[in-house]
Amino acid sequence: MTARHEFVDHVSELALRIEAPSWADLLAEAVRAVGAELTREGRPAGPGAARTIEVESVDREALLVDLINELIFLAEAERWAPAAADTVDASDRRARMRCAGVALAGPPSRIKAATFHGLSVRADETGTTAEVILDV
Amino acid sequence: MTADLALPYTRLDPELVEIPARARADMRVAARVYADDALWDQIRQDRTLGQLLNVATLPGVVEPVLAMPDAHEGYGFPVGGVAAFREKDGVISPGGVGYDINCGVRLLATGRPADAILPRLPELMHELSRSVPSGTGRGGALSLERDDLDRLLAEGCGYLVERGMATPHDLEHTEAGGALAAADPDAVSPRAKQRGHDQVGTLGSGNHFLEVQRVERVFDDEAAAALGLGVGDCVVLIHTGSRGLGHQVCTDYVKQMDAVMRRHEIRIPDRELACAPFDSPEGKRYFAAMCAAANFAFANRQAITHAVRKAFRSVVGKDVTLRLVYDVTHNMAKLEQHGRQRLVVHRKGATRAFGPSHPETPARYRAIGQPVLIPGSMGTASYVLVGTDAAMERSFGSCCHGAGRAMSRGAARRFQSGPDVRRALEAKGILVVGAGNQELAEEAPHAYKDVDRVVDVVHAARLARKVARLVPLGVLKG
Repeated sequence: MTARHEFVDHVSELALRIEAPSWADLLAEAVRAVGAELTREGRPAGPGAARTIEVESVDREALLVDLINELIFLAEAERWAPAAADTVDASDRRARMRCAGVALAGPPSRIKAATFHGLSVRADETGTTAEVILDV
Repeated sequence: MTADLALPYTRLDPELVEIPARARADMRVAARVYADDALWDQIRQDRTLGQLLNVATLPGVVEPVLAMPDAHEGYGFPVGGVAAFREKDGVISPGGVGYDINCGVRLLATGRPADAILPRLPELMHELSRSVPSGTGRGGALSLERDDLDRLLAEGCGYLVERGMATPHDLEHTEAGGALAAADPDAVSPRAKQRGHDQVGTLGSGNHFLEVQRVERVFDDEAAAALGLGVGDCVVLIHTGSRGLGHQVCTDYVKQMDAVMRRHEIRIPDRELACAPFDSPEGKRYFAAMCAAANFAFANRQAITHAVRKAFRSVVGKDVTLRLVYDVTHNMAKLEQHGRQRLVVHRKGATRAFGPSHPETPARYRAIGQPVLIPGSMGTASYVLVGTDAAMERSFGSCCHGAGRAMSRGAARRFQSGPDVRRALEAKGILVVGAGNQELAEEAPHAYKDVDRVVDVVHAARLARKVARLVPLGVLKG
C-alpha cells in the first residue's frame, strides 16, 4: 500500500479518506492532504518556516482529529501551512511531525474544523486507513 | 450516503411524522420530524434520521427530539435539529450547537423603496464588498487587544454602543439584547481568542452572505406593519456567526468532553455527540464559553451593520437610516423555561420562534410574536415570519433556519459551473459580488431544498406565521 488520500463528497461537509502503509505514514499523508487544501485557497506567498508539530490525544482517532485541527489553527491564526511532513515519532496517543511550510498570502481554505463524526482508523496487515469529516 | 428508509414511523398530521422510541433499543424518547410527504422523502435519503435518533439516546433528553423541515445530515446532531435536556440531570453537547456558535441572521429596514436604490446598486454592492470583509480568516475593521476582546465576549453588542457602532434600539431588537449574561471570557481559550481577535465585522465563507433585498410579498398586513415592512421596500439581510473564535471553542470543548464522558458514565453512539452533564464543571464551563462566543457573534453582526450603514450613507444618501428589525440565532443552546421545567434547549440549524405571550419577545413585537428570519438559498427568496405560542407546545419554541442543503458541494459543482450560476443570477437581475466560481457553484439554488415549501410546512404546522417574502437584488457572498 502506498500513501494516498482523497476528498469525498458529504451532504454539507467534506470527508477525507487516507490510506498508508503505517500509522506514521498515515499521519504524514494527512498533513500533506490538509496542507495542500489549506494552501490552495490561502495562496502561497513564499517559503514558510520549518515547524515541529506535536499533538497528544486519548487515542488514534482523536490524535488524527487534533493534528488536523492544529493545522487549521496555524493556517488561520499564523498564515502558515505545511508543504511536506515527516513523522518523527508516532504512537497511539502522541505524534511529533517535522514539517516544511509555506507562508500564506491571504485567507486559507474553507476547512474550519475536523470532527469526530463518522471518524474511523483501521489497521490490518496491508496498512492503515482513516476517514475524517471536515467542517466547511 | 446511507438512507434511513426502514424505520417505523407514523404520520401524525400532514406536516408531522413521529418515529417511536421503540425504533431503536437505545432511544430514550420518540423523534418527530416536521415535513410534508415531499420533504420527508428528501430527509430520508441521507443519515439525518439516524443522527436524530442518536440524539434521542442522550441522558436527560426530553420527549421528543425534533427535526425541522429543512433538516439534513450534519455531524453529531443533524442540521435542523432541536433537542431539550433537563437542567438537573441532562447534558449539554457542543456538537448540538455546532462549530459556528450563534450563526444567525439579522434584518435591516432601509425605509426606502427598492426602486429608489436600484440605479445605484452596482456602486452600493461595490462599497459593501469593500466595507465588509468576506472569506475565511480575512480580518475585519475592528482588531481587538486582549482586554477589549474580553469585554466584547462578556458584553456582546453592548460593548459596541460605547464605541459608536450600536444603538440602544439595536440592543432591544437583538435576541437576548445581544449579550448572554452567562458568558465568561476566561472559559474561552487563548487559541480561540487568537483566531477571533481581528474577525469582528467579517462575513466569513461558505453559506454566509449579505443581501440587499426587496420585499416582494406581504402575507400578514398587521404583522408586516408592526415590523415596519411594506411591499417594494428595500431591506438588508445579514447571515454570519462567530467565525474562527466559535469554531475553536467548539473544537476545544468537543475534545474536553470526549475525554471526561467515561468519568460521567455517559455512552454515546457518535463521538461528535460528546457531552457532559449541564450541572457539572465541564458542562458549566462549556456553557460559559459558548455564551461568550455567542456574544462575539452578536457583536460581529452588529459591526457589519455599522459598516452597512456607512456604505448606504455614502452611496444612497446621508439621511438614510437602517433600522434593525431583529437579530436571531439558529445555532445555540439556551436555558429556558418550558412549562414547569427548566430545559437546556439545543438548536442546531433551528431558529427560536417565541410567541406573542413570551416575556423574551421584544415589547414592540408583543402583539405579533418574535420575528423569525429564514434565509433562503442564493437567488431564491428569504422569509420573515413571527413565532407562535403554539410553537412552545409543539417544538420547544423553535422552527426551521433556512432552505436546507439537498446536494453535496461536489454534486452542486458538477451540476452547474460557477460562471453559469452567475449568468443565471444576472439574468434574474441579481448582482453577485465577492464570490469565486467554486463558491458560486457550491451555493447555487439547486443545491438547496425549496425554501417556499419548507416555510409553508412551518406555517401550516403553526411553528411560525408567514409575514413577508424577500427576494435578492444584490448578493455579497462570504
